[in-house]
Order: sequence, then C-alpha cells, then structure tokens
Amino acid sequence: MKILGFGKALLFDADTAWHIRAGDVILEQWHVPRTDVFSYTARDQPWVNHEWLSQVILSIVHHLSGLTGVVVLTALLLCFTFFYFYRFLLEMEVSLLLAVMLTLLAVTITSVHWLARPHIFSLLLTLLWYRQLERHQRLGARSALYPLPLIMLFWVNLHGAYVTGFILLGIYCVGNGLEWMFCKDQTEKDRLFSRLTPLSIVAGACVLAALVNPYGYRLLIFPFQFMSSTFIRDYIIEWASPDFHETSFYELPFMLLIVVLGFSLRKLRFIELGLLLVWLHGALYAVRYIPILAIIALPIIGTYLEDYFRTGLASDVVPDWIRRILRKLRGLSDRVQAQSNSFNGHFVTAIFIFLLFGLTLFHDRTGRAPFLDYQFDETRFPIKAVEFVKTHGITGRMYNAYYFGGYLIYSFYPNPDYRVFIDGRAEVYGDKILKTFLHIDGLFPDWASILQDYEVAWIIHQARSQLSTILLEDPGWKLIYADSVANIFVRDIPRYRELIDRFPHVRPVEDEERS
Amino acid sequence: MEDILFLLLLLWLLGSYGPGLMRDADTGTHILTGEYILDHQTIPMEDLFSYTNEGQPWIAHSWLSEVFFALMHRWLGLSGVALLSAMIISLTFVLLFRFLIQRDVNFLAAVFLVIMAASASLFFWLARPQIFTTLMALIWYDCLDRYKRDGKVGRLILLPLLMVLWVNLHGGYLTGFILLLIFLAGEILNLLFMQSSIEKVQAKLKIRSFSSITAACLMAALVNPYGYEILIFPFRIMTNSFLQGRITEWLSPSFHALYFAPFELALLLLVVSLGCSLKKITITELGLILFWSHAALYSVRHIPIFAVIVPLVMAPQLAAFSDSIHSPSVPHRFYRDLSRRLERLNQVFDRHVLALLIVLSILGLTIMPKPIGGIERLQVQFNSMRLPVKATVFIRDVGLSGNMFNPSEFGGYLIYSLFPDYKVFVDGRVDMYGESFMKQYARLEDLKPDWREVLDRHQVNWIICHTYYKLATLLSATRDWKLIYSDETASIFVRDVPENQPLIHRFPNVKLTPRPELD
Repeated sequence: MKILGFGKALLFDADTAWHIRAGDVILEQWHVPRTDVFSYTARDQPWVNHEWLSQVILSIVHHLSGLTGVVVLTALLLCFTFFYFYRFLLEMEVSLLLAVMLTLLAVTITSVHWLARPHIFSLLLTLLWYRQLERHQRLGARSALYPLPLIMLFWVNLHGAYVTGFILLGIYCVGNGLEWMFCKDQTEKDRLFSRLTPLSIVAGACVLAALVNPYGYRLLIFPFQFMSSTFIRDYIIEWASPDFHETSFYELPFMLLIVVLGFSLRKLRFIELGLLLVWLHGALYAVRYIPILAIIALPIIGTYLEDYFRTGLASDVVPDWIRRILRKLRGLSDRVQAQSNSFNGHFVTAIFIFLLFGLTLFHDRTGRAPFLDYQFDETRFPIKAVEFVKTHGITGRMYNAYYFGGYLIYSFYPNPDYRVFIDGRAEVYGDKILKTFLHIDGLFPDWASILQDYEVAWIIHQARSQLSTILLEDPGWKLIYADSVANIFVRDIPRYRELIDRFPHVRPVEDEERS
Repeated sequence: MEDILFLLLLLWLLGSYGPGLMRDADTGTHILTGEYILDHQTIPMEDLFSYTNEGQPWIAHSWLSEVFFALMHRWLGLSGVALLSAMIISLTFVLLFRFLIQRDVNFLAAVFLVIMAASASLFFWLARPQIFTTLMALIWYDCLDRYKRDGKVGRLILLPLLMVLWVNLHGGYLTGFILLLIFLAGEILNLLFMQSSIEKVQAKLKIRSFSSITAACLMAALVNPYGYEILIFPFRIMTNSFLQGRITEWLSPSFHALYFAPFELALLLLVVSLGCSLKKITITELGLILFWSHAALYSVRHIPIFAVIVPLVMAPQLAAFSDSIHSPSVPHRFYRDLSRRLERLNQVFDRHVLALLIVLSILGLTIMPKPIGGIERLQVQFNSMRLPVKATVFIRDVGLSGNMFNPSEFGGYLIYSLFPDYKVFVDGRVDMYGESFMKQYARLEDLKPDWREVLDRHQVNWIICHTYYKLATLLSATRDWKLIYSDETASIFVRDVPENQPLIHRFPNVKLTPRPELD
C-alpha cells in the first residue's frame, strides 16, 4: 500500500499543529488541562478536551521524529483502515477482485478527509466496530461483541466521534427489533431475539466504558452541545454540506446505491436501511461524514454486486457475451485468491513498516538530506510572517485569522506572551466569542470597536482577505509586513513607532489571478 | 380533487406566499424586456439596460415568456404577473397529480408525493420564465413515457410543436433534448442486453422513432429569433465553472437550510423505495433517476425538474408495492379505505366549475377600481425586504446623476423602476455580461485590495449597496465615499468630489441602519 506521496497534503490543516502542542502540555503537566491554555479570549473557560489521548500520541511521535513521524503515523493508520476494510469485504463473501475494486473506491472517496488529526483514529475504529457488529449479526457469535466495550474505552478518549459507535449499536438494536416485530416465522423470531439481548447488554457495557475518561459524564453530553451550536454548523467548512462542484466522488456512494438497489429484487434488511439512511443524511448534511458513508455503504453495495456476479453467471436472461466476461473475471479472481493465500505471511509488510520508522527516526542523526521530511505547507501557513514576528519581538495582544490559529499556537509554544484570539477549537470558544470573531472577520459595522474592546494591538491575517482590505483603508492601522500568505498590521501607537518607521511603505502582495 | 389542489396552491401563492413570489429582481428585467418588445415590435439583439455593456450582443432567450409577463403587467400590473406565475406553478403540480393517478399510484400516496415535490421546489417558486420549463419538462416526460409504454406515435408528434414554444419561452428547453437522449440511450442499451427477438424488434422500432423525433425537435428549435445561436447558448454557462460558482442557483444545495429538507426527504425516500421494491427498474428509468439526482445535487436550479420527474419515474414501483400486499393489516386497510373514499368524493368535484368561478373572482379582485364592501383590491408588490424599493424613490427624488454601481441582486429591480432614466452596472443576466466582466465585478464584491480600480474604470459616481453587506462597512471606513441614504435594505454612497458637495451637505451625518441582532 501507498499513501506517502500524499504526505504533504496530510499537513494541510492547522488543527494538527495545536493538537501536537496540547499533547505537549499534557505530557509536561501529567494532567489533562481543564481550562483553555492557548488563547486570551477564552482564557480559563472550561475546555472539554475530547481528543487528549490522540494528542498525547501525536505529541510523543512529534518528539521522537518531528512532523515526518506524524505523517507516517497517520499514513499507517489509514493503511490499517483500508487493510481491514478489504478483509471485511472478504468476510462478507465478496469475491477478491470486487473487494479490491471497492477498497480502491473507498480509498478515493475517503481521501477528501485525510488529514493528520484525531479523526483518523475514528475512521479506523468505526470500521472495526462495524465489522464486529456485522460478524455478530451474520454468524451469531457473541464473542464478536466482547471487544466493543474495550474499544469504547479507547475511543472515548481518542476522539469525540465515539458517538458513531453508539449510533451504530443503536441501529443494530432497533433494526433487529423491527425485524422481530414484522417477522411471522417463530424460529426466525427466536433467532432475532437471540441477537437482541447480547446487543443491549453490550450497549450498556459500552456506556459504562465511555464514562472512563477525565471528564466523566460531561464528555457524554459534549457532542450534543457541540452539534447544537449554529456557528459550528454554519461556518466551519467540514460541517458544511458537500459542494458537488468540487469532485464527483462525493456523489459516487449515492449513485452506486441507486444502481444496485434499482436492479435488485432483494429487499433491504431493516438494519441495512437504517445504516444507509442515517449516514446518507449525515453525508448530505456535512462533508466530514462522506468518508463514514463510504465505509458503511460500500460493503452493502458489495454484497449486492456479488449477487449480480453470481446470478449473472447462471441466468439465461443475460446475453452470452456478458456471461463470458463475467466467467473470465471470476476465474481471474479465484486464481489471485489462491495466490494471495500462499503469500499470507505479512512478512513483507512488516519489514517495510519497520524500515520506514527507522528512516524517520534516524534522519536527524545521520545528517544527510532526509529521505522523508514533511513540513507545514509554506503556501498555506504564515511561516515567514511568524519568523518576522519573532525577530522583531512584536508584543501586545494579537488578532489572528481563524485558519492561522493552530499554526500560531504551534510555532509560538511555549512562549506565554503569544496567545491567540481564536483557533480551530470552536467548542472552547463558545458561541459568544465566535460571534465576536464573526463580526470582525465578516466586517460588521462594529468590527473596529470590538478590536478596541479587546485591546488588540496587532493583527496577522490572510493576504488579500477582506479584513486586510479594510485595514488598509483605516488610518489607525499600519501594514508592516506582507507576503503572499499573510499580512501583519500594527496599531498606529507610540509602542510600535519604531517598527512603523522601519517598514514605511509596505504594500500587499498582488494576486496572480488579477485580470 | 385536482381543482381543490389547484385552488389551494393558487390562493396560497397569491396570499401569504406573495412576497416570496416577487422577491427576485430578475422579474423586473423580464417585464421590461417584454415591454420593450411590445413597444418596438422587435426582439432585442443587444443589451439595453446597462451602461457597462451597452450594445453587447445579448440573447433574450426567454423573450416569449417576457412578452406574456409584460402583457399581464399592462393589464393588471404586478398583480397580473403574480397571477400568471401562480397559475403556471399550480398547473404544474396539478398535472403531476393527474399523471401520478393515471399511473395507478394510490390516491393518498399521490397527494403526498405532490406535496413533497411542491415543497422541494419551493425555493424556485418565483415570477420568472423558469417556471415554464418545469411545466414543459413534465408534459414532455409524460409524452415520452406514454409512447414507451403503449408504442402509439400520436403523442410523440406533439413534441416538435412543444419545442417551438419552449425554445422561445426559456433557455431550459435543453431539458427536452436531455430527456429525449436518455430515452434513446435506454432503448439502445435494451437492444444490446435483451435476449428475446420480440423485444429486440420493439427496441429497434423505438430507437427509430426517438431519433427521428430528436431530429425534428432540433429543426423546431431553430424557429427562434436567434437561429442556431440559441442552441449553443446554454452551454456557455454550463461549461464555465467561474460563472457557475458565482450564481446562487447554480450552486449545490446546502442541507443545513430548512427549505432543502423536502428535497433531502425525497432523496432518502428514493433509496427506501428502491431498496424495498419488488420490481426491477428499467435502464431508461435508471438513467433518468441518476441524471436528475446528479443535476439536482449539482445545482439547486435543477431541483424542480427532479421533483416533478422522479416521482413519475418511480410511479410503477410504487404501484407494484401497494399491489404486493396480500393480507393487509389494520392500518393498511384503514389507509386503503380512506384513499377510496376520498377518490369517490373527488369525482363529485370533477366539473372544474368551482375552479373557474374562483379564478374569475380573483381576477375581479385585481381589476376592481375601488374597495367594495370592505374588500381591498388585490395588489402585489415587489418584496421590499429584499429589493431597494424605498431607495429607488429616494434616487428619483434627489435626481442622482452619473454612473451608478449596484450589486447584481438589485439590478433587475433597478431596471424595472429606473429605466430608461438610469442604466445599471450589472444585473442577473450573467450570460450576457460574460466571464471577464463578471470577474471584474467579483474583485469588488469580494473586496479585493484593488477594489477601487473597477469603480474608477467605469467612472462610477454613486453606489447603491446592501446595508448589511461588507461593502457598506468598507465604504463607510473610507474617506472618498460619503453615505447619503440608508434603510434596512439598501444604502447609497456618493463619491466625495466637488460636484457632489451640494448632495453631501444636504444629507450630512447619515449613519448605516444598524442590523438587527442575528442568532
């Protein structure tokens, strides 16, 4: 498997940066901070840090091998996800060739959300969770359910999307219940009932397991508070509805579903129906659920396709030439399967991973040009602007662009003088501070008075942003630094006199798309 | 029942939904274009309404709808335009209901589907030529589908005639060709995949008639004032991703908004009914569902067409589903009985007399000269929350001079109320303005650092803009523009130059109207 070429793009998100620093804080204090430590606007406001365990892991990796290590870790987690996805398809009796194709499809669809962030853990855990539930459903093996509370124990500490686990459990419980209600046959009824009891017991155990976290029951309420915030739903890109102009992959799961369901005579089970409807709704509502929809829907689509594969071979409604192609594919699939069985030592993979880790760990010491070296993207993050701030020791309160927040935390850590106005942790700031941020960034008429109220002395913002345009108009602000990523403005006050005189005629960098 | 449905929709559209129907500024451009055609007895070939693109070639692709709007406007004023639009929209959904019943969909289910379709396309219930396209698409689909079922050519012959009308009514005539091609492709695939020879013969026959009708429709589409150019025109926007990204109706729906919830419900129900149905869908049906789902997810403007076509495509599945229940349970039986009883009730009303009476009385309300017995005359106006109704009165009173800058959402209304005394900077006819001009406009709308260049290049003397948008904040922060008027919809700034000093002194210390706190 191969994801490393993608490495740089994994660091496109500023949130990665503050996750690493949050992990550093936890490791230093041996304690999960209860209140915010990075900003001055939300200073001492309660912070339910639902991703603390992932942050600790990211931080350890970062200590050992820098950002490269973080990228390699994320890549590995993704590889595991798809490896198990592929195994899961085979368990669902999907033939090998089809399974490979569906896995590739899952890789392409989920790639929209490959970022080095804690939600990568959730993707893997969602898959494992789904696989256990489906095993229990198909084979009736209760032992398949035993790992779930243990998984939950980790999940609840790794990432807030542990709720996904409960939603899936709920769908399986309700689905079995409905099936049981509408079922006429007594033995079938008993069989369904025998699924229902262990499921509900395990659900109870999982709730208990979920309580084992630094915040107790508050972490269980947290996701609901988070999702009820209108700001978060309406202003954060990953919570926005998918824009189907971006890529046709967004539509793919939905279109495939229509095709396979339309041509089939098999009715969907209640569980399948529940899974599809819940995650379709999720994916239409927010882009961030599209990968989950892919992981959940593709195995169901796979079972349908496998049906066609088999009936297509047997039926005589299908023209001869199609049957011939199908037979060839089948043969190929079986042969590859036989081959791969003899190759099943995992040996090569293990060695490869080992080598990779070796490389990332040693590149500092050998002093040669590193083989793998990932850094934050210069065209997205204010790397040079931060250098400028550091060399000239700009002091005072700053106002910063939302998407710079994470990177600023990362690069100023551990200097306590530089606290951000805002960053990607929308849940810490709460609707009130987020609204003031919106008033400034959205150029509401009171933008200037809010900056005054917060005693903001300097501003780092995106080059060519609308706030930059209006600051250029305002005689109270002076531009002292500009590159193609960021602008730095300071207030025209005595404290900055020297800086302003030193950089008098700074102009914003022009945009290449200008006509 | 059809009548009742029609009337309910009509009354609601004219009554409480009235301001919604008239919220789009483009309605203004359409009425005035129609007026121009009526006055000059010619169809404009170049732009009339803007000073920035004066004389630029312009394809008024909806000229016939515009003439209809203008005729109604001359007769009954804006109320007439609203009445015409409301009737077209109501007719669309009544026909949908009839077609569903004809395809053996259970009565209650049909009512439900019509309500769902109507509410899914609520967003596009506007007094604009687009409503003709939805109606046409529905009739068009019905003709094609009937031919596919019974093989009688009679209905197909109607299509070229409809196309002559459609191509002059609205640029969405392309929908007709897309539907034809999907049916044609479906039959070609049938020919490839079918085994039995009878089916092959039938498929061949249908391929022949679909392709000859397509050719006939192509010829029919040439019957328009712009000739072959109108055939190329729709692709100009469809292939331009910049323009698509800037026009709201070409964007993807955001399912956070409540008004797209019925559309989402329709998508989910589609999955449920396909997943639970006991009948395979045909290749043509699959093609139709996939194409229109894709189109509707891609651009909101296609949702109305999705909403009227997909329920009809799914009709055989739904009919088969209710037949398949052999031993109905109590709720089932109740549902079936209720449905039958309503159907019987329906036959009593099937005289259209009631509908005629009410339409006549609405008409009476709009033309009556003075209130009779406390009943006010029905008067529809442009929506003053969204359009600068008060600001244009101010412009006329003060007699502002020089070039104006206006946001494109106001353009159509400014044309309606100020043409020919004032010409606009831009309006909703994005296809006419073209990509390079719209890019200039976007520099200003996005407040890029060089925003002044656009204003200087076109020698803009005054600016009308949304009071709550960013441009107003920026202009009030600058020193070279002065605010002289502000209400809760629009504000007006003039350039701070000597010629404008009298105006600036006449309206000193104007402040931006504060925005009500949002939650």
